[in-house]
Amino acid sequence: MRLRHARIELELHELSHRDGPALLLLHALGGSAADWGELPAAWPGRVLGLDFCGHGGSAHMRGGAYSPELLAGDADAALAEIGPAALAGAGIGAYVALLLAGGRPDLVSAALLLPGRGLAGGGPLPNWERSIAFALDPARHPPLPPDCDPQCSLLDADPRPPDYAAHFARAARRLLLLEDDTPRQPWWEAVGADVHSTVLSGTLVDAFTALATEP
Amino acid sequence: MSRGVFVTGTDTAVGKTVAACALLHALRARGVRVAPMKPVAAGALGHDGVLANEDSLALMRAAGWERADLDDVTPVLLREAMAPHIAAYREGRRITLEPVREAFVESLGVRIHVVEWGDPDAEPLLCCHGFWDHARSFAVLGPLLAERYRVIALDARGHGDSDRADAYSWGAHIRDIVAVAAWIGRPLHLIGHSMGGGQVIDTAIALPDQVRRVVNIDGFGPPPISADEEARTAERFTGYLEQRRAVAQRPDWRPYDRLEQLIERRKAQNPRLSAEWLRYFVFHAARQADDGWRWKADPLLGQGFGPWRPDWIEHAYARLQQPLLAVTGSEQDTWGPLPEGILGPRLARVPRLTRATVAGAGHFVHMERPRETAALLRDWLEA
Repeated sequence: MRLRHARIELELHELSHRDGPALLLLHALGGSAADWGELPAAWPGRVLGLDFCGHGGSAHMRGGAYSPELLAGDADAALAEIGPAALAGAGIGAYVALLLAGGRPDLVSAALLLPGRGLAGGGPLPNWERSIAFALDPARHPPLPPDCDPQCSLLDADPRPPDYAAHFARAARRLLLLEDDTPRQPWWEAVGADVHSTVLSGTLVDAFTALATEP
Repeated sequence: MSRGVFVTGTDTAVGKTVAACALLHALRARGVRVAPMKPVAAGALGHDGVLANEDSLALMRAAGWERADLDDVTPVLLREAMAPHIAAYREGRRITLEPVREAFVESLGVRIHVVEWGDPDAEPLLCCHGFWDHARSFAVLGPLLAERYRVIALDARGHGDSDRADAYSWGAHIRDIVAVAAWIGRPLHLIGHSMGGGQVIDTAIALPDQVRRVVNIDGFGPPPISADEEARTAERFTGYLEQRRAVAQRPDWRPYDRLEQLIERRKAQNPRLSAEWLRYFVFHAARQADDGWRWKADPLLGQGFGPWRPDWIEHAYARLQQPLLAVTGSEQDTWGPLPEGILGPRLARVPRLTRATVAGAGHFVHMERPRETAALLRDWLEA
């Protein structure tokens, strides 16, 4: 279905129709709702997958001002449509899930943060040289799929201070962080240390099962 | 198939209308249907109780048209005989004004509008205005510096005559300035006021080889945020999300009947500007449509959220390699200057700093005291 976030047209895909609690899936940088494959079938309720602006079936943003907070606005437009939901996000989708879990604790029962592209961001402080190099010369960093707006590569460069991320963790109701063996950024460590967080290891299916299970 | 012929000349009274009338007669003699236009005419006399321009009447007659067709010949008729842009300005009417060079520079799919003064081969000086303002805030300072420099002022995205974007961010503004600097393509100096002052510092850090010197006019950031406000980060983000949801309900500003209403509103922020300056500035900050006058600035401009904090300003200042001239006014306004206890330590981080205060000016130093500002900048840029 089509959604509108301010001036941006977004595509929200209904991936599973079962009765039960809703789950909103947020893909990684360069991805789309198609990335989730068979996973939605394992969820005991309705599953929706969003294409972030600049990705999949959603519009590219005029002017290229992509930021995690703006993508959280995309996901909030989806919540406005579907109502309360659990979130699961990979990469940039994980960071967006954190922001939205902290910004909409009344609507987000829990959020599962998964590894994927766009998880790291650009470090704890801003770096304009790096951001501008990304924006002006997209060939300088790992390419994005052809249907993705090249300006989305900025989402590999935005600053993510750990104390900023920690504010959202404190405001969130429940966070699950799935660790793999890749190195973690300071923001991830800060979120994992919050009392609302549980750090998991294991398979993706295990993680979704944990998300579906009330603590 | 219809074809057009554009008749122009280098001065008044050189025969544009005579030539156009001769063409109309000749074309009609060959059986061609003609439609003459003098789209903008300045100088109207009463003719049978109706205001009309002599040239428009001559074209009308040459085409074999009637009085009733006169509005089609000349849709914009201004009463006073003078350059049309001045006549339009006097009457508070909006036609395209071309008192200086103008261009559009493409940046990330958004067209950035620039205006220029001075010799195009002179050393370039790029000016960036403050939040909610536009390029013509440099309309008095620019010509004063144009004797020696090519002065270029840009409209930030969503301001003035630049395009609106789908969303705004500090980084996107910086990349727009970088795009204009690339379009200029030569070493240059940067001047910024308020928001633009912060932006030119970040641009100079990003372009260490192209940017020579930097002037920041009272753009030293907001005061530090309190621990209480910091603790409310997630709650403030909820407010941002609510704002984004509300945008769909109000896509643009409400219109005002008269330009004077906008001038009145702006006057509250600029108590020291002359009525004439204020009128010129607001005239270019607004656009007239069928239902009235609206601000050009995009209502979405105020909306943004991110991890940025005022204490990051010092991190940036410490990395600035170019000489910086930091200018403040002596008078306290809503928007500045910052208390010295905050400003001093911030500026102390700049490796190559010169500070200057312009007496009698508030936050809008370059608009309120353009001559003093120009003299100050000339001296410093040439030192």
